Amino acid sequence: MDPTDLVLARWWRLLEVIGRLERLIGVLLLSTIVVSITVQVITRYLFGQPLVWVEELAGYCFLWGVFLGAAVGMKELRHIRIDTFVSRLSARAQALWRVLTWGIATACCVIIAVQAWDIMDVESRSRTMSLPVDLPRHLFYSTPLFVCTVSIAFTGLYLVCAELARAAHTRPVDAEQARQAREQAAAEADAEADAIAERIASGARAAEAAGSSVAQAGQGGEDAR
Amino acid sequence: MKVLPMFLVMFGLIAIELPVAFALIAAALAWLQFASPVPISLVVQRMSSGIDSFPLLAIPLFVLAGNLMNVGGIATRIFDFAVALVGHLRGGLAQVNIFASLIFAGMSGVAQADAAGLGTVEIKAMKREGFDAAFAAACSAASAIVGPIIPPSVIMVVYGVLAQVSISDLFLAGLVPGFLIGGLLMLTVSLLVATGRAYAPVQPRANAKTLRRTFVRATPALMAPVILVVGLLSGVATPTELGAITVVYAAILGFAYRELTWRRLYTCLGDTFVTSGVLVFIMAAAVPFGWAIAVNNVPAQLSAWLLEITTSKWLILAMINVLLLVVGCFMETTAILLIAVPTFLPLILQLGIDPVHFGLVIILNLLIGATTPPFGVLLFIVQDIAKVSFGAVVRAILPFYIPLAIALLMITYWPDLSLWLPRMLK
Repeated sequence: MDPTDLVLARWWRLLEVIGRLERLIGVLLLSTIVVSITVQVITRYLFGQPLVWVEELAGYCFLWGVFLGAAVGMKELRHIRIDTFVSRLSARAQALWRVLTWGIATACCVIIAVQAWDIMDVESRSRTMSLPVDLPRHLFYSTPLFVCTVSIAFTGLYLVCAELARAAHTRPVDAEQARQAREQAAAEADAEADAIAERIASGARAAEAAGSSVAQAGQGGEDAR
Repeated sequence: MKVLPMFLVMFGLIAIELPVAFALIAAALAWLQFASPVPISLVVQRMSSGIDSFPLLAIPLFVLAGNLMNVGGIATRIFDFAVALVGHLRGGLAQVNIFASLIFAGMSGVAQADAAGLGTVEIKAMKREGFDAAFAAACSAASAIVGPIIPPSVIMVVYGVLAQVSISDLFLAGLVPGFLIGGLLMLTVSLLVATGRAYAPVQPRANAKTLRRTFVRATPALMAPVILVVGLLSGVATPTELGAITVVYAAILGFAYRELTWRRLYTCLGDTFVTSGVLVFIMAAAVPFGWAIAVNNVPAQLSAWLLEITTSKWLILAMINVLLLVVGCFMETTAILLIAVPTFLPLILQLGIDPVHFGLVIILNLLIGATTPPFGVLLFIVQDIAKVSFGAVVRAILPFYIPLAIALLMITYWPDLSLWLPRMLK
């Protein structure tokens, strides 16, 4: 294997591990939000006593969740973009084009990460309000923003390098392949569910009187095509 | 207008296929760097606090509720019930498609979930019965619009936070227009079939026993929207809290139906986490952009300029509608909302238009934009499920633009249609 290819493959594997970790944390945060808000509603009505810190806790989980979700979204190429003309370019031109766009995205995130780092100091002076523990605010404001933009920039840099490698000697981009594999698996699961539904439906049809008007209409439609 | 270059840069970056969130950030950063004396850190500082709002928590909760309903086998149960109830009407499964979407809308908050989850069940069933695949896809895309109009609705939460309007009011305001759109779409299907423009086999009328059986099977699922609407009407819980309750209810149902496993629950949670993360990240990314719009007094300048042309609020609403419909063809829904609401809201308030009413107008407008080419998210989803060409879906959905346009006109020019329910409760 070409040394650059090896580095890119390793880099991608590292990103996958980070992504799985971020996803696990995200699931825990989301579960905390659901459980804490539900518990709050219950305690308010059953015991007539709202838990004041729930809203703040859920809000902080939400902030971390959003920024980690955006970081995972970058790894899974799920940030919404509008397809215009790039798919009509040649493979090499497409790769170079993506180098440009991922480069811009990475640059933006680096700028924001640097700013967020500077802000942390100022923000650490304000504290949490109603939580049972006293924590500096920046842990929930600039820190998640910093972590998110660093993570996105790290992925973006990988994408820039991977697209460059693709332009140079058409090595496929692992992130793209992973996405295609995910979509393929979803389509297969879909087709399987379809086949099962079809079997159930045809079984039901056979069980009913064979001359049912629905079955005939359905059959007629299929024959016509 | 000093910020015009910023708008142009943003549109340019989106056109070269930079993801929307980064286009918003890059345009605003470039503008701040080259055209403004304000340090960037001032704006970056607002990115986190800009999305620190308790109502926004409803977004992941309602996305999760919709996902759980989809994997929990609830879509199928609702579909069976709808078949028994309206399958014998002219249009057959096409009517079922729209009717089931109306019910599903009461649990799901995003049109995409409606089109992808229930849409899969609907399109497959319609193809099996001999419907034209493109027509089936068009019905699903058009009826998915109802999803975010009838509560719960993620896009209403975004609007409510941006415009500082009560989200409960917005949710309640969507109920009547949602059913109106559903009715208009069902009427359209009926007319299309009657005039021979669409082939539609009819289901046999279900006997009382089948109707009762499917109803009983669907009842626990039907309770979800009932809980939500009762919760909103009585005001016992905030929309966010109702979101959490709906999630817990959907999870319990899924486990009770034995369709949900711990593994699937993890997948659902992870998927919701990424989907809503990507969505809300656009809101954070739009903060610097929105800040630049505000400090440059764009809303005031725009108001002054528009008020010079006309002072009629009906004419201005018409102009806004046309503008948003055009932009909606090319842009992503949330991004438009993030820019359009702060830009137009001061003018709307100045003209004495109720922001709740305006919210419904703008949301329906942008949802119609999600079904129009060249960039229509809902069209992409149904096209993928139905396995037909994009052109075929576009041709099939054309007749549905008529009822949607009628609904948009009615909602725009008949404020009481949306406002009477929230007003009645005050």
